[in-house]
Amino acid sequence: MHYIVIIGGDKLENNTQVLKGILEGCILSIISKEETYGYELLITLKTNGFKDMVEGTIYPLLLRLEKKELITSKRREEQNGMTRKYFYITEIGEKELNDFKIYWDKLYVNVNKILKE
Amino acid sequence: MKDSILNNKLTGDYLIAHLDILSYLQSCNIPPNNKFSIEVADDMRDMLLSAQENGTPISDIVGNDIKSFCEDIVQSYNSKRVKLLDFLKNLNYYLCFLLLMVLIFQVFEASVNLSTIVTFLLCWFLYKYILNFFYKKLCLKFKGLKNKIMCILLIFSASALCLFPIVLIIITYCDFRLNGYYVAIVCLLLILVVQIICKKLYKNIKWYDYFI
Repeated sequence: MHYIVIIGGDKLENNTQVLKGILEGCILSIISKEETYGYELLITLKTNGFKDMVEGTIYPLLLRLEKKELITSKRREEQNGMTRKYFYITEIGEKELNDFKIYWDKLYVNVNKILKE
Repeated sequence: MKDSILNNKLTGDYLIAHLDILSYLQSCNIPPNNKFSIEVADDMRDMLLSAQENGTPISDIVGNDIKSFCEDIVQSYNSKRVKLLDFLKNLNYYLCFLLLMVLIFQVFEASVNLSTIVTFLLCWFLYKYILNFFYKKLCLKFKGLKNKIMCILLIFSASALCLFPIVLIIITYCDFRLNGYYVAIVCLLLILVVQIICKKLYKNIKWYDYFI
C-alpha cells in the first residue's frame, strides 16, 4: 500500500488522502486487536481523539480495506434482532499493518524534526 | 438491492437517505445486482436502521454532505480498471444481442441496415450512459421514491426528445443495406477482441459474466 500525501487546500481537512491513509492504519490496528463492528470502531476512534468522526467517514475506508483483502467481514444477528457486520484482519492485513507502523514511525520522526528546527 | 429496498423497516428521512445512496450508486453505472451494490445496500440498511432505533441523526451516519459520502463509496469500488471492465462487459453483452439479431434478420431474409445497427447501439447501449449521466446530477435533488420516479421519467422523456432527431438523421444518412453474415462476423470478432481485453484486465472472467 502506498500512502500518498496530498494536501489539497489551505488546511488539512478530514477528507484528505493523508488522513485516509492514517485512518486506514488505525482501523487495521484496532481490528487486529479484536473482532469489531462499525459502530464500536467509531467509538474507539472517537475516544482516542478523532472526535469529529462519523460512521460515514469510516464506512468507505472499511470497504476499501475489504476490497484490498486486508480485512474480511461476517454478518451476525444480535440478540435484539439487529444485524451487525464484524470485521477481522487477514494475513495480508497484518503485513500491511506492520508496514504502516514502520511508515508512521519514520513520518513521525521526520515531521517532528522539521517542526522543532 | 431490490430486497434491501423492499424489505426494510426504515421510515421517514432514514428511508429517503437509504434511497438516495442506492440511487446515486446506480447512477454511477454500478450494476444493481452486483455483489458490491447488494453489500452496500444491506450495510446502509443496517446502519440507518440502528440509527433510526437509537434516534441518531442521519448526519452522524453519512456526514453533512451525502453526495461526498456516496462519492467515497463509489471510489472504493470504481478504480479506472473496474470502470473499463464494466463498460467492456456491457459492450460485449450488447454485441451478443446484436449478433443474434443480425443472424435472425438474415435467416428470415429481412434486410440488415447500417442505420438499424447504429440506432440499436445508440438507443440500447449508449443511452443507458447518457441517462445515468443526467440522473447522477439530479437524483439527490429529487427526494423520496415518487420524486425519484418523476426524475427518471423527466430525464427519460427529455433525452428521448433529444435523441429522436439524431435517430432520424441516422435513418436518413446511414441507409446502407448490409450482408447479415458479414455483420455477424464483425460482431464476433469484436466480441473476441473485447473478451481478450477483459481477460487481460481480469483473469478470472468467464464468458457468462457478460449476462449476469
